[in-house]
Amino acid sequence: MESSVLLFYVLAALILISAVGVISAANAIYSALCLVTTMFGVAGVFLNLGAPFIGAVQVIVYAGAVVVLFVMIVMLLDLKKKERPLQSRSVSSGIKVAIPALLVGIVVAAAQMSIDFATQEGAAQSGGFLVSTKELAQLLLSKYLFAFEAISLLILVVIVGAISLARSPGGTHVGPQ
Amino acid sequence: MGQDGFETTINLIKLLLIFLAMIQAVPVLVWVERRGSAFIQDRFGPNRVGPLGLMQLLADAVKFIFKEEFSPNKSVRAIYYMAPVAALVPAALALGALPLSTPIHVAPFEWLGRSWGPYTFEMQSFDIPVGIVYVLAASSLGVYGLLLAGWGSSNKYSLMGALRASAQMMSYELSLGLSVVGTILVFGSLDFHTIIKAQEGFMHFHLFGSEIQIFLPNWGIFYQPLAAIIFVVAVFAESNRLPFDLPEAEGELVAGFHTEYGGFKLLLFFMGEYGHMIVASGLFSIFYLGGYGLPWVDTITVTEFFSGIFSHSTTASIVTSIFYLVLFLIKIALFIWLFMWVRWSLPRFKYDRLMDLGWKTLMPLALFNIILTASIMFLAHFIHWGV
Amino acid sequence: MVPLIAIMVITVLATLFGAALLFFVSKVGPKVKISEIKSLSYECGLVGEEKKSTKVSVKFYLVAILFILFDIEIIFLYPWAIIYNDMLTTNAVFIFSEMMVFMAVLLFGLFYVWRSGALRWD
Repeated sequence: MESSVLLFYVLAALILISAVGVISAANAIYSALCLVTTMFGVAGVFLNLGAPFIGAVQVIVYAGAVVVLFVMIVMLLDLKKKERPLQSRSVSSGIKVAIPALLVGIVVAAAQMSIDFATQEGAAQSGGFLVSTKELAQLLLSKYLFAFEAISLLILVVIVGAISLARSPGGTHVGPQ
Repeated sequence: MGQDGFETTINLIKLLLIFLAMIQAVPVLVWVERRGSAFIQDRFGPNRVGPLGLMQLLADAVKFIFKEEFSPNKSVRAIYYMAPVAALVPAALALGALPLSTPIHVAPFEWLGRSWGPYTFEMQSFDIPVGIVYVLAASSLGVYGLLLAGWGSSNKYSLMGALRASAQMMSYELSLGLSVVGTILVFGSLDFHTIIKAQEGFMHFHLFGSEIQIFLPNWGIFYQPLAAIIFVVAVFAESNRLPFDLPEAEGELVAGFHTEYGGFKLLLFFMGEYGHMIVASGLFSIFYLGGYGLPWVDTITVTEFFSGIFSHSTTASIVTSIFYLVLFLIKIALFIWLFMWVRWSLPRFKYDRLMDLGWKTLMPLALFNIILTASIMFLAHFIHWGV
Repeated sequence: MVPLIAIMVITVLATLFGAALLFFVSKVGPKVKISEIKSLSYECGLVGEEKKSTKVSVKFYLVAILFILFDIEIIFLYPWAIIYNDMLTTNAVFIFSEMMVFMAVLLFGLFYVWRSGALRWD
C-alpha cells in the first residue's frame, strides 16, 4: 500500500477518535483538547494532499487561536462536570449517536453523487506537493480577488461586533467612549 | 524517508539527534545563564561542582530525579501532568524545520558486498516548503503549555498568571508574523533554503544601468532593519523572557503558571523555554544574518575549497557541512547571549505597558514596515532600479 | 509527505520522552507522603480560602478574539508577499493597490479598536 494512503488512514482514524472524544468527554477541558487533536489531524490530511500552506494555516488559525479561545472560556467559566450525555450501554445513547450519523451520511452521499469529482480540474492526488503556494497566491489575487477584499470587510465587521458585545454592562469599558 | 533502509535509518537517527541536541542544550544554557548573570552582577556563579561549575546542572538534574513527586490536592491530575509535555512538543517541532547546514552528499560506496547509491542528507529533520509559516504554527502552540499548567494547578494565582501569559504571547505573535512579511517581500519565498541562498555575497544594486557593489554582506538585516528590531522584541515576548517576564514574575505571582510544579516537571518547562529561545535565535540568523552562510563568501566557493583539500567527495561534503554547522552555532550562541544579557540588564515591564507596546507600538510599526517595503519595491520597479 | 511522517515521528518522540521521564522520576523518587498542609494550593504560605469563582475581566476574551481576527489578516499577507516580486514585472499597479486596499481596511480596524478603548489598561 502506498505510504500516503496508509498515512491518510492513520490520520482519519485520529480525526474520528478525537471527534468522538469531543462530543463524549465528561470534562469540558478534555473536549477542547480533543478538538486540538482533531485540528492536527485535519492539518495532517492537508499536508498529505499536497497543500502544506493550508495545513500550516489550519494549525495557526484553528489549533493556535480558535481552540485557545475555547480553552480560555472553559477555564474561566469553571463548568461543572455535567452528567454524561452518552451513558454507555444504553439504547438512548445509541440512538443519539446513530440518527445524526445517518443523516450526515445521507447528505454526504447525495453530494458525492451529484458532483463528479474525477473531472474536477486540479483534483488532488496524494503524494508530492501538487499546488505550490505561488500558484495558490496567483489564484487568490486574480480569480478570487473579490472574495479576498470582501474578507477584509468581513473581519472589520466582526471586530466591530466583538467590541460592541464586550461593551455591555460589566464589559471592558463602561459608558460612552 | 529514503529509497532504501540505509537512508531511512540515517534520517531517523538524524531526527533523534536533533531532538536530543535540543534537550542537551538546556544544561549548557542554564550554566551560561547562571555564570553569565553572576558575571554581570559582579559575583561568582556556581564554581564548586566540577571545573568552572560545569557539573552543576548534572548535580541539579540528579537532585531533581530524587525529589518527591506530588500534585496539589484539588488539581486535575491528567492536565497537571500533561502540561509540561505540552510545553516541550512545540519547541521540538519548530526546531525540526530549521536548516542547520548545507546538505551532505554521499557518493556511491561499497559496504557488505553491495553498493549503496548516492544519497543526499539534508541537515534538518525535514524540509517543508512553507518553512516560515510552519515555524509560526509550531510557536503558536506554545500557549497550550501555559494554559494547561495554570488550570491544572487549581490555584487561582496560577490561573491568573497563565491567562496573562497567554494574552501576552498572543499579542506579540501578531507582531512576529507581521515583521516576517517584510522579509518575505524582499526575498520572495517562504522556503528557508531560498532565503539563505539569497543572502550570499556582497550587497549589489543596479543603479541606472551600472552595477554597484557595497562592502556590506548581502544580509537581511541591512534590507529590513526595522523588521529585525520588531522581530527581536517580539521574540523576547514570545519566549517569556525578561523584560517581558510577567508570566514567571518572580516576586509578583510567586512563580506564575508554574508555581505548583517542582522537580523534573519544572525542568521540562525550562526545556521548552530554552528550546523556544534556540528556535528564535535560529530564525533570526536565517532571516537577518544569512543563516549558516559565511559573510561575503558564496557557498560554492567554500565547497570547492574543501573539495580541493579532500580528495574523497563524501569527506569533503561532510567537512563543509560541519564548517557551516559551526558557523550557524556561533550565530545562535551570539543571539542567545543577547537574550541572557538583556535579561539581567533591563527591568520588567508593567502589564498594561507590555500590552500597549504589543498592540499600539509594534503592530502599527510592523504594518508601516510592510507598506514601506512594498512601496519602495513598487517605486524601484518603476524607476527601473532593480535590486 | 516526507515532512508529515517526520512531524508525526517528532511529536510521538517528544511526547513519549516527556511522559517516560515523568514516569521514571515518579518511580525513582521517595514515596509520596500525603499531608493535608502540603497538598493545599500555594498562596504565599497562608491558608487561603479556595473560592474558585474569581471574576476575570472580559479583556482577556477580547484580546483572544482580536488575535484570531488579526491572525487571519496576516495569513492573507503571506501569499501576497510571495508573488509580489514576480508580479511587479507584469502588473505592478494592480498588485500594489489591491493590497493597499486590504491593509487600509485592516488599519481602520486597528484604529477603531484603539479608539474604542478596547486596548485600554490591558
